[in-house]
Amino acid sequence: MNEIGPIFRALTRNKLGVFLIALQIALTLAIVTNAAFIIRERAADIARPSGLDEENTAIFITTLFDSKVDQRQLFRDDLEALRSLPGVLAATPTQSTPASGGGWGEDIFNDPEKPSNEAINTGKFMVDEHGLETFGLELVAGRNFRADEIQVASLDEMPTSSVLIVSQALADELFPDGNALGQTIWDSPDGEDPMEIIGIYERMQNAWPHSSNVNNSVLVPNLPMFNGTMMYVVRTEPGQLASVMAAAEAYLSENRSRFVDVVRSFEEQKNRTYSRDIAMVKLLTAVITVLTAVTGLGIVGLAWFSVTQRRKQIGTRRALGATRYDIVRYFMLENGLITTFGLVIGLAGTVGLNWFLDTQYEVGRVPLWYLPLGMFALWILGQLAVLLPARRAANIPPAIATRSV
Amino acid sequence: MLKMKNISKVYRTELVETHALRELDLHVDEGEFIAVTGPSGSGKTTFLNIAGLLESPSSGIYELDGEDVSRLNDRQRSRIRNEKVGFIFQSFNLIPDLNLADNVDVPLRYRGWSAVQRRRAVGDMLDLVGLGSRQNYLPSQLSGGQQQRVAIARALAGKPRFLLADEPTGNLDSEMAEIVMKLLESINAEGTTIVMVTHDPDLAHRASRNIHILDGRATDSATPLSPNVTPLPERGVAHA
Repeated sequence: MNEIGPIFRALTRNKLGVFLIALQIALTLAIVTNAAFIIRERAADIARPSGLDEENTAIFITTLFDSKVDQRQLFRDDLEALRSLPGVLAATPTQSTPASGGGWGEDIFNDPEKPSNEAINTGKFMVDEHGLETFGLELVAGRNFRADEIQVASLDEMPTSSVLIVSQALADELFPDGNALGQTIWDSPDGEDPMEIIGIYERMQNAWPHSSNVNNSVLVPNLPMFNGTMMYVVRTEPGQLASVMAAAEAYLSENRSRFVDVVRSFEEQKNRTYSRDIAMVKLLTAVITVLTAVTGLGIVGLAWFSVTQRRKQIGTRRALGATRYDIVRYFMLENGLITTFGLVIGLAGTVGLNWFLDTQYEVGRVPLWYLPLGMFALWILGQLAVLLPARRAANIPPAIATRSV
Repeated sequence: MLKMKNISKVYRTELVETHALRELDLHVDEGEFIAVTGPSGSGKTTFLNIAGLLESPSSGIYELDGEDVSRLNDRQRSRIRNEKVGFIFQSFNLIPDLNLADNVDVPLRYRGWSAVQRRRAVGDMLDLVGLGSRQNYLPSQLSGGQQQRVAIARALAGKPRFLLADEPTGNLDSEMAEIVMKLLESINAEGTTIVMVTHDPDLAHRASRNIHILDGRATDSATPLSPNVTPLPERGVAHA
């Protein structure tokens, strides 16, 4: 039975009330859709694999304060000790880790004649010949570093590596034809210090998770010795992380000539790096929850009020032949019309808000499929919200029509 | 067409039991115009509610058109109300947000008639009550008498077998009341059975038969009151 016409005409006689509810629904759609989009983007960033064996990787940073200590020998001793700990699969020295928020970047060129503004930026990680295994990277082409290729890098002496291993993403950007292996690249536009790509691994993020070239990374065969800071990444067997971390910390702490600054699982570090994103996701989730709850409760409240106000009308409809189902359907239809009106306004609001957020904060454009999905979700919310008041209306007895008050 | 046998209605709360109707017997023939009178609280409205299937009796048998309707479920009762009964209420009970045409259309939509059928019936009924040119008016734009005429149009639109009128002139001045009564009389003259509850003895006199309800029991105008029934204070209502 088609009651849309009379309901619509009746609603037009209460424009302000209808508009206010519709406006609330429109605002909810605009905010919820954009918030959901931002949440999804951030959550995707957080969930994006770093390339490492995240669950089984730990990071240790120590600071050597006794200048008399032979740092290179200490590296050797530490790495030998760490690798011999029960449960350790591999360990490597490094100066940075992926998704840490801080590290080294480098501009590289696939052609020495190119101007500097055409350099390709990448994250750079210094490792020894155990770097690939420690980071859990899978070579898709080429070979690993040999021990004799590892050079000490310090503030006094920063050697240019003649060989390096790059991520697939970087390889593809440098050589779109797919022939990166064996190619020569340069870290300056003057054509000096050529470097050969000896290997390509599938994936590893650089240190900056929000960078546009997050998957560009390169491993260089260096032992980083900068002002006494010594950083190790240790990969353990599954389930051994906690015990290895405790044992490694105990070992590192035995040496009284240094501080143990950081003992941290990779997952903890990643959570720290993404802490603002995680907070944003939580905040926006709360906003969505509260807003939809408020809107839902608002619809419930208004419908409830409407039922209370129209008890006699409802009783009259029942007296004139409406079944309980007819009454429920009437309120659902009425709410459906108001919600639809609000959602249509909300469409414009959603696009407008997204344009503003993208222009001001570069959040990206909401994919079009979010709009019908958001509208559908809110429409269902509206129908669910009105169900209880509608059922209450349906229980109003027809005999109320003959009551004088 | 309307037959009630031993109809009782008891309203119960945890503390109180109220007998609104007590073993009421009643019979209304097709084409009659019955006036139901009685003092406030006598059970008139309860009788009207049961007659119109707005409520179920606590006991007894109610037959409408030969069908026992006293124990039907809600959906069946709604269907019979919609198809066989027309209601006219004291306070008109028009839906204020709907225009006159939509108001008259309300029961027809529940009947499931096509849009064409409904449009024709609505137009005919509003013409009948003299408001055909005001289909798009809102009830608030009409006088009380006009609103009641719209309510009559709504009651008649579905071509019911009988009309139940609850104090149809109760909220009208005498001039408007006369117009409405003449309309009801003409409707009755065309064959529609009318049962009208009224306080007004003059209006009751215009009915073909009066039924007086007192303490939940009915006394027909042709039937002497039982000795324990207090005579009515209302003047002119026919009872022995």
